[in-house]
Amino acid sequence: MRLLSFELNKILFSKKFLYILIGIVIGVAFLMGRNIIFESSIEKEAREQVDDLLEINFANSKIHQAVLDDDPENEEEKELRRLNSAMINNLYETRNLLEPNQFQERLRLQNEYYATAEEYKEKGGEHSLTFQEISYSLALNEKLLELNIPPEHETYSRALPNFIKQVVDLFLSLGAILIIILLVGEIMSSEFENRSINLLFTQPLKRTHIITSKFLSSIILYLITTIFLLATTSVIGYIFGYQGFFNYPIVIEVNNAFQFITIAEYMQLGIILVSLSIFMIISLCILFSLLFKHTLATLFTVLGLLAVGYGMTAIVSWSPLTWFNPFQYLLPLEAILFQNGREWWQGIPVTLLLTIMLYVVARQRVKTSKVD
Amino acid sequence: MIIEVSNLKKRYKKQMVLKGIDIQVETPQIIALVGPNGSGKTTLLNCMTNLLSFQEGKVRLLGKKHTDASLFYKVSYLQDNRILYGNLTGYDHLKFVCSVQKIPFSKIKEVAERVGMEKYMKKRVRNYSLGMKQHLLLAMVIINEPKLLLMDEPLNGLDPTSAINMRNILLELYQEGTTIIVSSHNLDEIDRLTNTIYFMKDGALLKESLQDISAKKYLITINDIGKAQKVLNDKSIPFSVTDEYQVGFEETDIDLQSFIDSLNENDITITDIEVQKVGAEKRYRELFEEELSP
Repeated sequence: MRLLSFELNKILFSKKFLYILIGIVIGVAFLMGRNIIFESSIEKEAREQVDDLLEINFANSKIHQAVLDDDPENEEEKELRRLNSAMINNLYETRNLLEPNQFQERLRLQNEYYATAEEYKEKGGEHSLTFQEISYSLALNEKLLELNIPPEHETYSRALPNFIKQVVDLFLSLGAILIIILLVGEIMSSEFENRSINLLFTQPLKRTHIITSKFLSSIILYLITTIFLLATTSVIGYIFGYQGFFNYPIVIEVNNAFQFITIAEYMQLGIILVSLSIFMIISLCILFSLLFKHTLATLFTVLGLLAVGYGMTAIVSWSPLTWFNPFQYLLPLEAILFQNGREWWQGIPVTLLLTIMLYVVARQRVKTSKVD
Repeated sequence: MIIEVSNLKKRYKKQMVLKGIDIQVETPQIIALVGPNGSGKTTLLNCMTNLLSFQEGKVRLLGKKHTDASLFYKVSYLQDNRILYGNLTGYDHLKFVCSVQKIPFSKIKEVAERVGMEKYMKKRVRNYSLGMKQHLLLAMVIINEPKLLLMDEPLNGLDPTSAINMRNILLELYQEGTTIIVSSHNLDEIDRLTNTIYFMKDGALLKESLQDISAKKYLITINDIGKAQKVLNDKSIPFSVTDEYQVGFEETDIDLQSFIDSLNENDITITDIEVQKVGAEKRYRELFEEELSP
């Protein structure tokens, strides 16, 4: 405990920690600024999407007409032309309902369009939307209608929960790893490089306690930084955004069927899973620091190992392997969004086990560690 | 037994750095560890404190094996100032040492005053001068009132006042029963501190008691340094100019009275005479003649 507070002091009062916190504030403010600037283009983008679909449907319309000119009695083609015309009419109606307060009617129209497009494709028509995309959009729109929640733009939303999700998504996509590497990547190796480890080694302390305090202080610093990130995002989102809904639905695939979790659950799961990876990275950094006693060598090895580990995850998609793969939560979105033949939690035991093993090996290693 | 080092051998790759060192200290004393750079002084201290491994030998301090961390309750090691954390204050460092040594924090103020660092104790170490860092290092190693104090170049960066202060503190600690091993290049200070000197040469230890070597150096303050230089050169008397009004010479080269007479004969006024012991330097010169020759 005595050593832990000393370890925390060393980083909490360092310029590096201050710069990281400032970087977080600037980054989050930048994201909100971007959302404010691009908010006006959301309606334009929606209109362009409708126009793109119209273009596709008009092109299909010409093809159907050409076929029917050659073969006026072709019933299948007539049916396709009918469905295509229905889609065109639907899109014309949708174009007039792009105001935010008309979201229910727009969602209903969109779902009619998607249902027609699905039928059209099933009957042999060609459309740029895949069956997967159609099913996804249908499911999400139905859920939004059921909950009476207006849809939010994936990238430029100012709704507080959706804005926090944007930040959390960045955090889960390498952001957390970057922060932890900057924050504690050198927590042990710098002690050897600066020779300050000599101070710790010449105190009446068990060397294993040094490892424990390094590990715990790294976790605490990570948690402080994460809480600071979420708090900053919430404050900026609250001031410059609008309320939104924390039960906003997120579509996930479970055994090839769509299910929903709330945006709050999604963020909780994401942070829990990436945190497990972070604990493993902390253990790796401490162990390799003891082996190499050099920051660059430690960081290169840790990052190289993570890259290879995650690369293997991406290459080998055999579901049972998730029980044994400790690298799957480095980018945890995949594990949450696509649970086909696997559960989101399946990698937790192996990740925790590896973290504990690395920590135990580091504790053993430090007992005989020397400064030469 | 305070220190028990037997046949300590340390090798870096193929080079033997410590060649079977033996040290036995039974009663409190001040021991100076002297030798040129690379002679193995720091390596010896690091081996004794379990910072470095060694291939052969045995080390026990205050009756405990050197790998037993609990010995650091009563053994302190003053090291290079790189061990300090720049973003923490001197107070933070002392607080840390107190907390791991289970010493009440009230001792911090007392020790800070003793070493003369109370004014800048709350400053971050990155803003410290070399001398301030040495003060902090000294405070950190004496706060636990050690029975054995190992010091690696403690006088580095200290101004004369601080050096005198440190010497006094070390002498006080010695009188209180602390055994001190101090490695230093400052032979003048060593002469003032102790007669027991361990010279280190190429990884071997040569123990000397300088009690019998009563060589002295005289520092003569005069009114005309130019004239004195000319006179002494003409008479082929070996001397050194120590500052713009001071010349120095060793007793072994010429006795004091002859030196004074030579100056007086030429109307050079002597305003002060200071006597310095030069046993360590004299012996050092003898032992490391090769390194000293150009």
